[in-house]
Amino acid sequence: MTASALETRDALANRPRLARRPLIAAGMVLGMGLGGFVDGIVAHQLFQVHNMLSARYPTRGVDAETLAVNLEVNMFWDGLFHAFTWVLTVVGLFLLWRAIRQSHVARSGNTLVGSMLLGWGLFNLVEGIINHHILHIHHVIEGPGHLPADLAFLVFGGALVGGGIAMIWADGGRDLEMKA
Amino acid sequence: MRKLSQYVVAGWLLAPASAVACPWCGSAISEQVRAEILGGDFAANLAVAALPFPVLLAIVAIVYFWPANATSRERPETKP
Repeated sequence: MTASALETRDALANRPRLARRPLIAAGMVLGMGLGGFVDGIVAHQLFQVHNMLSARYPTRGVDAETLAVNLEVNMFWDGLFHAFTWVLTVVGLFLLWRAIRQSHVARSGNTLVGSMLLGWGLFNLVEGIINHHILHIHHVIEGPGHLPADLAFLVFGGALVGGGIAMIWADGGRDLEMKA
Repeated sequence: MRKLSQYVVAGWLLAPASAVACPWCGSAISEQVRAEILGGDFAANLAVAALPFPVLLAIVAIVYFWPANATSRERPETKP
């Protein structure tokens, strides 16, 4: 091996280690916020299969006046849900901004995207387990026979978590640091 | 201009017949909506609606503050 090749190898081996943890945390929070928006926009508004408290204030099988009241009540709590996801997104952006301004923090697109997928998946798992299965404040598709859709929501969340971890792992292994 | 004023008057006359459902306006339904939102279940509903978010932030905090040496391992350098 030539001297220059040895020098190159030593230089590569002695590269400073970059922290990935701030980037992963930022990506996770950003993914949670944006994942919440996906839930709110797609399920609550576009397909209207459920609302935030639609198991308590049903919008199916009720008379017109009750429907009007329950829709308004659900709209209020949907708004609050979107406010929370908005706050998460802003916190995620703040963390990302802070992370990329630090010279010792890795700037890896794969780690960031993987972290966002991880955050989105965690959002689905936590929201699904708490709201659909423990508190029963709503279900993915409201009404009798809601379990398959609720479980599919969890499976989708698990797949996002798995995909996100795989991307983070592929980018730097188990280490929460990577070479520059 | 005369036609426009006719439309305005017609609209004004027909307006009370239309349903008004918003939490903060003065219709009968809006009072029901307000009562349901701000009634005795408000704190409980707020708590259950907000519950996933501190759990999610706690998970991020665990990832962020987990001791570095528990997850980060130096790769062994190869000898020349």
